[in-house]
Amino acid sequence: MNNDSPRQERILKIFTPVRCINRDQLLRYHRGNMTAVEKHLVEQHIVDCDLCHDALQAMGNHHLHEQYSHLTHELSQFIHREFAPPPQPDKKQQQRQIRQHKTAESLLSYFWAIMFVAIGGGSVFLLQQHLKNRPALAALPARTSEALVIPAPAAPPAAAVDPNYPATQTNDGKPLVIHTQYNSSARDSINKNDSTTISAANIKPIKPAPKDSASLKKKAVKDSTPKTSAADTNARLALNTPATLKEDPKKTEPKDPKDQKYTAEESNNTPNQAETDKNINPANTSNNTGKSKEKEEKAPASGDESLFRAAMQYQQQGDMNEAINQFKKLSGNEKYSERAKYQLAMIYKNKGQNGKARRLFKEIIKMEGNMKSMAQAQLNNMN
Amino acid sequence: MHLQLNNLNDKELLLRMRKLQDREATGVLLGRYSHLLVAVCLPKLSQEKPAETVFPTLIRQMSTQLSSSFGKLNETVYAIVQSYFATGNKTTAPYITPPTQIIQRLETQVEVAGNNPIARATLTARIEQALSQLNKEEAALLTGFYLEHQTLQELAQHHRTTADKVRNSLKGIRKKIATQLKDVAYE
Repeated sequence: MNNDSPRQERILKIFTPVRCINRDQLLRYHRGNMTAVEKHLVEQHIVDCDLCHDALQAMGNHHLHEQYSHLTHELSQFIHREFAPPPQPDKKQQQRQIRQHKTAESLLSYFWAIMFVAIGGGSVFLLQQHLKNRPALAALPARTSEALVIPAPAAPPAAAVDPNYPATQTNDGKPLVIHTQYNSSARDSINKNDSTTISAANIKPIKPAPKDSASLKKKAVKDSTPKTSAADTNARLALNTPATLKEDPKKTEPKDPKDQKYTAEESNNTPNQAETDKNINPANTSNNTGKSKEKEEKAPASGDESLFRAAMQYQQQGDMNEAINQFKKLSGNEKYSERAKYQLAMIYKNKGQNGKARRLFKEIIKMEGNMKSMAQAQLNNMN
Repeated sequence: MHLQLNNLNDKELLLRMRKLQDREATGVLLGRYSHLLVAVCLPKLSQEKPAETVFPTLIRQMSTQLSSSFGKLNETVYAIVQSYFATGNKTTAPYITPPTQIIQRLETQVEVAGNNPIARATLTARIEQALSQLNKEEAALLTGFYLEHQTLQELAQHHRTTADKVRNSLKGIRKKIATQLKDVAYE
């Protein structure tokens, strides 16, 4: 294949398109001011284009050249006028439009900024209102046992006594013993040893470990219901020493109002403590009226006693499960059986396990002990 | 903008006319053919059809018809002028004969081939084959004009005829070759 052969290139010229002749070529063709190549290109185009052929033929008449020049100029001006681009708006008008657009945009941005601030402020206000008016019971657990998440004390139960507790001691160097509601009979068995007694007014209640607010609220609700005197022996026991004190009813009597005041103050903070204090007062009053002049006998602190104290401590701290375990251990003991069962029944009652509580109260009644009347009262109250 | 439009070819200007409704492009396109329009119409002007009415009317007709026309632009302009002076002020759509379209297609193929040697060789071979089927007079005329670069006047003198007749003969030969190539392509 010989691509560079002139024949091959020239054959393609037969169908190579050539542009129409311009106004300059139109006149030069007849004047003979063209090169051979240019003339051949014009003729090559003329073969195919009727318009250019007729135009060249018309320009063959030299008289028309002037008219041609004149009309061509006028026609080009007419076309220029007729097909001129649309007039552009004034600069001032453009600037005005831009300004209007900008002001509209700025107003829109201000509006959205104000809306954003308003929505944000409103949402914060609504959130605050919601948090303030949140229903209290919605956050409380259904049962007290569910709220008991406090771990068991690491220290042994005997060491769980509040260090702030003013362990008033007698002249003998022995710690004082708190009066209990069943001083009349049980105290005799417990406090066989001679010891001086202290009034409940001198005892600062042991602060319970911090609990869940939910459990506290629930307890407060439960405490609001009228109760008969509960047998809470925690406040009545000596803290961690075997020494017991002889109770002097004369001394305790005037201190009772103080104790009441104290309980009134503390009841807001610790409902459980308020319960214990409530329980102490009637016991003390009964104690004062019944056996005010009896001297308490000193009782040695045994392992069961410390176990009982520890159980009471657990109960005060809200560790009900541990307290139940301790009381169950003591329920087999002859000495503490009645009291342990009573406390166990009270715990069950507070937890809402009324069946167990009733059964224990009935057992206490059957035992015909000192706490029969209280158990009977609790049972009646439950029914 | 006007200068930039002057650099565009006819196809691009037509595209702008049709798609963008660009009046400026229309003006540039009509300006390219205005001198030919004047030259063609000049002998036909009369008192009934003076230049003041003929040219604005033709320009408006062209601006409306060019956007919907097909084929070569110069043929469309020529057809509009012919129809205007033949029928008066009536605007009729120009009729382009089928052989013109065949030639236009062949010209497009040559343009597309461009510098591609394979395409050019293929086209050349086809045209050579078509040339071989021409008679001696036609072949001599075609060879003298396109291959030997003789002018129309020289060919007319050689064949003892006029330049117009030579031109018409060459035009007819081109159509004949284009038709043959078309038939070959369909076979």
